[in-house]
Amino acid sequence: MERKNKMKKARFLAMTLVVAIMMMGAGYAYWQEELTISNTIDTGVLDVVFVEPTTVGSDEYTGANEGMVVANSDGHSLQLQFKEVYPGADCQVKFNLSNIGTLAAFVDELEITNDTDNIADVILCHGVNIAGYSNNYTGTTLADALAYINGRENGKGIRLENDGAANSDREVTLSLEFDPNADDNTLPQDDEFSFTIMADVFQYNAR
Amino acid sequence: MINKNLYLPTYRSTLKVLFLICVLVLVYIVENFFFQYNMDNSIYNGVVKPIIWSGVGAVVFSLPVIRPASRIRTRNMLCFWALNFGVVYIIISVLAGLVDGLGRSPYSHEPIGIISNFISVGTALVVKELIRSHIISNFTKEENYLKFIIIALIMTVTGISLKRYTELIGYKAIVLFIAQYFAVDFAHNLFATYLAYIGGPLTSIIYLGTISGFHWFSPILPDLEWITTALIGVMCPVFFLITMQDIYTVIEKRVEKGKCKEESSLSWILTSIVSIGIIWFAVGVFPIYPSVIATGSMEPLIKPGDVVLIRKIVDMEGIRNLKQGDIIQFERNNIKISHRIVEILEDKKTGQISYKTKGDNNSIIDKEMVKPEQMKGIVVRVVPKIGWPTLIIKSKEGIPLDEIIF
Repeated sequence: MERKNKMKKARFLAMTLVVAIMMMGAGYAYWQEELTISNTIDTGVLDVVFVEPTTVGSDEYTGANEGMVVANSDGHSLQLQFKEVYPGADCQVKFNLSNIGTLAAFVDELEITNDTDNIADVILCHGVNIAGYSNNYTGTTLADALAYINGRENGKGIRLENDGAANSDREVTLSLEFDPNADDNTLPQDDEFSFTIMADVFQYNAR
Repeated sequence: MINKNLYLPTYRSTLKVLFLICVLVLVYIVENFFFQYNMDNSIYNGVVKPIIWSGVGAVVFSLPVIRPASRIRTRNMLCFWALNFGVVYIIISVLAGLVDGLGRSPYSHEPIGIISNFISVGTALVVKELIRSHIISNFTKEENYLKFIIIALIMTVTGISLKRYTELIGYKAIVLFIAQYFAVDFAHNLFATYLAYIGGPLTSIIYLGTISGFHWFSPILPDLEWITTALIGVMCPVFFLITMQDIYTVIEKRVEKGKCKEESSLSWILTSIVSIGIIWFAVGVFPIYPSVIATGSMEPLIKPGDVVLIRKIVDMEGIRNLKQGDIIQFERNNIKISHRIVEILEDKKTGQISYKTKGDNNSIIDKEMVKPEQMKGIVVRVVPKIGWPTLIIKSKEGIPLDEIIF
């Protein structure tokens, strides 16, 4: 009899633990109710390039309009080369800013680099035309022109929509003139000059 | 003539029990407060810990021994069974690991590491079992499960690092701790206490040593879900205890084999396992769980009172495998709804998937789209009518009908 009681006690203890395990299962089921959600995120591409740069020289003294100013674009910068220019010579430089990325972007902080001869200082800019933007440029120098471009969209720069959308490509025209008052020190004769225009590109919602 | 002063009988002493418990607690405090966190781990485990336990062992060894409950001739059999149970536990753990997963052991398996762990763990194990044997033999002469539980609790509390207790924050952490560590250690200690009671320290050393040896020296260990750890870690020692009782009874020839009129431990064990399985199935532990249907929105396929078996969706692969026409269960405002997918929509910009659903018997498509995070699972089978008792019981609670569209 005593042995039976002891075995019953052992089974009662075991039963208690079995019930505890059952309750743990309820807790496990409750806490397990989570769904692992993952999204494959493809990051967008931010890329704006200079394309189709052209120049049109309007001077009558070079004998040829072509070659006075040559614009080359390697995509991410615009190189301007000047040959047989002289004080008062003018030209138009046109290029397209094209957004080939997947995000809308702002092109900002256009700046002149590699200007070893400081030739940009003697270049005046009488007009800036940006497709899709009203023209209210009032500056006089190339530096003013770049600052004007940088100041579009309340200082954010030129907005370009993502590739394929309307306004993903804008033509920019700069009407340039070499300072008529430039002298031999600032615009040496018989020389070639060049500089590069570079820009920063920002994600549309980064500013 | 026997000199009484030299051969005094050993009496059970509660003072000895208290002394040994104090020794256990003191060593626990010293380890957790002075050494473990103020010393390099390798020095502590390799040098300090064995020295501490060896010193304690020397003290305990000098205490007079009260023989265990079993006869000397049956001790070998008890040791054999202790080893058997240890091996069975390891086998069950490994089999569970084949389902839940196996992982690489975090312990060092270089020769120096193995030797260091063997000395560190081995000395502590042997001395603790000597202490356990002394405590149980001094505490009780008869099989007293209340005293077994008390000793098992003391051994469990002093066997878990203090850091584990202090790191418990929140209800869930406490439950997980109890399930994974405390309850498991308690069950093992309970069985070890019983073994020490009937067979002395050697039997409990063999049982716990076998399990510890696998844990510390196997290069691969089962990586179990906490609920699996709890199930195996608690139920196995409990079943071993019940089985060992029967075996001990037969070994001691208190009852002839086969003539025991008590219900067999095997039938009891099977009943327990089945009961746990049924409860776990009902609450949703397994990948497929049942759900009672309360409304007729999916008639004629699924009627009120039917039980649907739902296969859980737990990851994005399950979400992506869903197709038009599947019957899914989702949760909205704490109500589980089982409707059919009529259209799958994917937002091209964000990649977000959502589902248009409709009950077969409803006149219009559900007004809200189902998002992946609302998804519970997919209906795989319908069992007719067996859910009626649940509906009758729950009919007293109002079911909010504003979410149910007809």
